Amino acid sequence: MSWLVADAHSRDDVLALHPALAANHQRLLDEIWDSSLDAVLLEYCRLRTATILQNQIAWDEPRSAAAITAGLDESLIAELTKWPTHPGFDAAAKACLGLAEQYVIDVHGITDEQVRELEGQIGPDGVVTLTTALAAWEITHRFDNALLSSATEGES
Amino acid sequence: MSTTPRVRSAVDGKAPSIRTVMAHSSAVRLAFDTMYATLWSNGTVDVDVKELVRLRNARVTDCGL
Repeated sequence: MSWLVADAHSRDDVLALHPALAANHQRLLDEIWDSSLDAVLLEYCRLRTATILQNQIAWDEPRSAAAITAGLDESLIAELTKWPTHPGFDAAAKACLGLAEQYVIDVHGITDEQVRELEGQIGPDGVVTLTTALAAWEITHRFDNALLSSATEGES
Repeated sequence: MSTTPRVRSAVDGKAPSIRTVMAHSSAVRLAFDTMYATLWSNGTVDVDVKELVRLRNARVTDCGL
């Protein structure tokens, strides 16, 4: 539901107010999911930032098709808050999730060492893709929070 | 705040900058730039208002660029 458009029931319904922007927003998301960065890592970070920014809608919508194809394990998604110590998350996942959390909580707290470690795990192209994805998802999470309400808000 | 790229340039002979670093993921960068351009060139919100919001957002988030 949205207070902006009376009969809107989804993000797409609201974005339809600006078709050109909606199309280019979707294109950006498509490029991110089609990139060389492991879609499972991307989906971990999308959902983790959704939790931190309290966007229940991102949790309620279907998981990324690219991530499912890449082998997303739903049992690990259920353990996402435990990523720092959970053995199911490897070094690359931990480096990505660490940056994702720092990005949305205190972006100025990101360090040279942190980025070097991340680059060692996913390469410079991965770093650029991940940081752009984090920007895109922060936009999306805040857009949802500002303009939509979830019937199940606050459950994640 | 950091305004020096932490990732090396993707363009031989060019110093690291936001442009040359983003070139590591050129398709994603192009899509981002296209969306950004649409924000500025389309819609009913006056461009002066958009710039005020951009600057205010930069101040709030302490963006050194």
